Amino acid sequence: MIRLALRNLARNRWRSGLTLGGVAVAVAMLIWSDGLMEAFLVTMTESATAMQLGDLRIESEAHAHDSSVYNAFTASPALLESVRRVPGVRTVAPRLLTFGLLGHKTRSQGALVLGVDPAIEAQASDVAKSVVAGTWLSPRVTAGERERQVVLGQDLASLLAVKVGDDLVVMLQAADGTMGDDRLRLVGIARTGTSDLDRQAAWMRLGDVAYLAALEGQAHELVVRSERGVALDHVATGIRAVIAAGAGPKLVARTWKQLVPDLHQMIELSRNSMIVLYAIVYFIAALGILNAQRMSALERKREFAVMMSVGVTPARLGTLVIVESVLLASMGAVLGALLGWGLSAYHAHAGLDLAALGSQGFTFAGISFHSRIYFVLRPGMVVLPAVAVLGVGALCGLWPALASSRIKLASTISGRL
Amino acid sequence: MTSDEAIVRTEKLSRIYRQGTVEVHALRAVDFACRRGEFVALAGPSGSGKSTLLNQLGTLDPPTSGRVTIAGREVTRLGRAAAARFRLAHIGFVFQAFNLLPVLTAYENAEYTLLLQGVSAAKRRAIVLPLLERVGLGAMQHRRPHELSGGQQQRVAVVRAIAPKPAFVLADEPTANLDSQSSASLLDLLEDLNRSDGLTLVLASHDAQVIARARRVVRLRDGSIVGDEEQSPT
Amino acid sequence: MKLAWLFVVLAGTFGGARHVCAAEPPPRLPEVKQVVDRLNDLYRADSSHARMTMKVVTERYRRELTLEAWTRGKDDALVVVRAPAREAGAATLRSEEGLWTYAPRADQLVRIPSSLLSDDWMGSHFTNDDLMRETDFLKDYDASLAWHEEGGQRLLQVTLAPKPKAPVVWSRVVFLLDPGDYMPLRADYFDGAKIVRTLSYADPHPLAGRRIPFTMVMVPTDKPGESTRVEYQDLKFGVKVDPSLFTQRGLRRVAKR
Repeated sequence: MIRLALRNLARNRWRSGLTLGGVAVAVAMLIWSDGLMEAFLVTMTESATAMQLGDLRIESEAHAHDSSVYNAFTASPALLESVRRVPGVRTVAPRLLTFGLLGHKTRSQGALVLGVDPAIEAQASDVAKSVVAGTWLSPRVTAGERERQVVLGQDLASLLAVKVGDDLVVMLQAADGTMGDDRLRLVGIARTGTSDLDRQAAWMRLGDVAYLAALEGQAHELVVRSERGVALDHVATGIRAVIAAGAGPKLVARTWKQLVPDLHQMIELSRNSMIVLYAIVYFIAALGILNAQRMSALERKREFAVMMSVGVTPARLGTLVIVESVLLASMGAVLGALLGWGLSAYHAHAGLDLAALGSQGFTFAGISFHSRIYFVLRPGMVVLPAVAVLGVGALCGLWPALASSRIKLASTISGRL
Repeated sequence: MTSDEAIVRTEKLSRIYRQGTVEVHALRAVDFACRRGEFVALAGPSGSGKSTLLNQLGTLDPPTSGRVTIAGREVTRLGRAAAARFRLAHIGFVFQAFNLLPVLTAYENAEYTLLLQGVSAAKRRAIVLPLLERVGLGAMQHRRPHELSGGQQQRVAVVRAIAPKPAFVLADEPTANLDSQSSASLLDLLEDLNRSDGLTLVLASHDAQVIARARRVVRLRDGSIVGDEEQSPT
Repeated sequence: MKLAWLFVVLAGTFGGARHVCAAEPPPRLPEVKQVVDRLNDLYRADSSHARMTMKVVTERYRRELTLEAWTRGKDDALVVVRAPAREAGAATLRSEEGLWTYAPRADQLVRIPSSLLSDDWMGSHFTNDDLMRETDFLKDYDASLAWHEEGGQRLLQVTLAPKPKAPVVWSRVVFLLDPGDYMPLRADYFDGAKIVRTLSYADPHPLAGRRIPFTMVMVPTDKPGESTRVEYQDLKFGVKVDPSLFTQRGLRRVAKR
């Protein structure tokens, strides 16, 4: 039957070829656009998690509601260690967060002052890697260092008109109500790609911020990065068990999906909108297959009548027509999958230049994208559209199949009517 | 079943077509019977109802009234699928033209009915090859229909029709598209199958050459049988 | 520098208290302009010098600052923290060039950007805006007068509603004044229909022929138990103040003392 179907398809090579090509292009387009969409989504997720949020954040319940400087908790080495030992946890980074005033000459800006452990933060986030001028904070106070070190987001640095090596003044309100102030030395400028951080963030050593804000031994949040490929919710459960056992203020652990539900929802929404695109493309592919099969069935009406006369049952004839259209779809799917995979793999490797959208990259939802975007490709992204189009093919064969099996034999064969 | 018994019989068989508002009485209460081993020609001018009768005998078309019995079984109420299976088991067909599936070779076309019956490849080969040799197409078994002449195509159709050893073979104007030489050779074949193998044959034709070969001629006019005579072959 | 301003300024006006019997029929309301001019005049003083304490009580901490303040003309004001030692030398300066805070450890002036105007000043319940504000009631508000009875006293109530485009964070400010000399007794700050904070004036001292409240208490409505209390130890009007005080150098001179 398959041989017969294949030969039938081969009869009208032009029509079969065009239909097959159409299906292939549709499938390839789906794979390609899915790869592009995923690239955007992964970029968004990563810039949210890699720069700031981490995969999971531990903070006091009070800080979760009100991120005030007062809602810190004691980040004892024992607590850090027990969180670090939860399976799936890669890094635990303590941070102090406070708003402060930065001044340089006659300029001043409010800033989000982040106290971080330079070495741990470099593992927990991409901030250290995003330093575009100067260096990241040195883990230890270097000999001859007179001023405390600070790294600024690049927009904040340009608002203050400072360059690496300049001195700044920081003023911030300490947890005891006093004002802490000190002179800082700008050692590095970071471009994180997250507009909030680039515009507001000032990274300082944890100890320096703890001193200025009168928060020795405290943290506002512990940022947790998980091992790759580990189910985050699973890690979160483990962490929650650990922090529930500890003394002190009640701590909560939230995953990035809980921290930025908007982003999470937007990503879900984007994925869903892909489904709409899928549906449209499948619909178009379906029309193509349907049309080709209907034409082909109409042309072979007499042939079908002869087949049924000599004993082919309507069901068998219908099956033949469906097999033909599934074959057509599957060849198109395989071709399209190869094409789409090839193109996406190329763009995953070499990147796609989106210079048309803006010469120096663009910003969307507070996240800046480079103009060259690298595709994300997963096996499922290739297999799924290909498999789905098979189903579409089968569905499209149904109507011509039904029509064919209902041909009036006598009149069709004799050519009357 | 004895050879005297009718292998196919119609009783008060009528078929009315509707063409727009006009009713065409293609068959008017026809009683017809054919015994095993007969070679019957349905003769008559165009529109006389001979093709309609043939289609009725072949379960290709439901009658308006009356009944058809084949091999002792009433077939007028069979559904499409059941009718197809019945035809496969009992009836061979040779049509006027375009009998063959264009994508299959002569051999594949010839074995097609056996294939549908689920006969194994080896058995099919054992049945079909000698038949193709017999109709003089042994060397052309791998050709596609478009590489065969009209007469050759009709002979492949004959092989396909007789390969499963049906109760009878129906042929509607089998020579209509052939030149006289090819017609003669095809008729020789049919006559030989009837004589040597006892094949029951019912033909519809208005071709005198064809009618002359039959041993019984049933004449129709305006949907009724107007003559039914035995004749000796010429 | 509201503290400085407010004090000085409040001081600008008043004579003696006059208790009104509630049973008497209400007298005629004074002219709106007359009253508001008086309120505005609170902020007019050629120069002043003050010492005061600020007691801040919050849920988390309790602290007491000793402050010294100068004002000169309409624009210049300076507040320096004298105690506790840890914060001594911290200062806030208002000059024609804006609002600045002095970081003593870094020995540098830092401009307070407008985005931080509603932040609190030195951990108190006063905001930078309170210090900074150059209030012109007639310019920014529509004022109306009414009688208000409280504790058997008849008080003059001034309701200030911001004009459509005025740079004001409050939806309404209501002053209660002594009807005799228009000395303010209380101000309620509204957000919508809700009072968010209340500033009370007490302990009037006679100064320059007027009554000046020497104590002010700011109470935030949504944080029970919290307050900031400012008390004057010493307040002088018309003293000689060197204009160079309101510069980084002059400030440094007095701050480092």
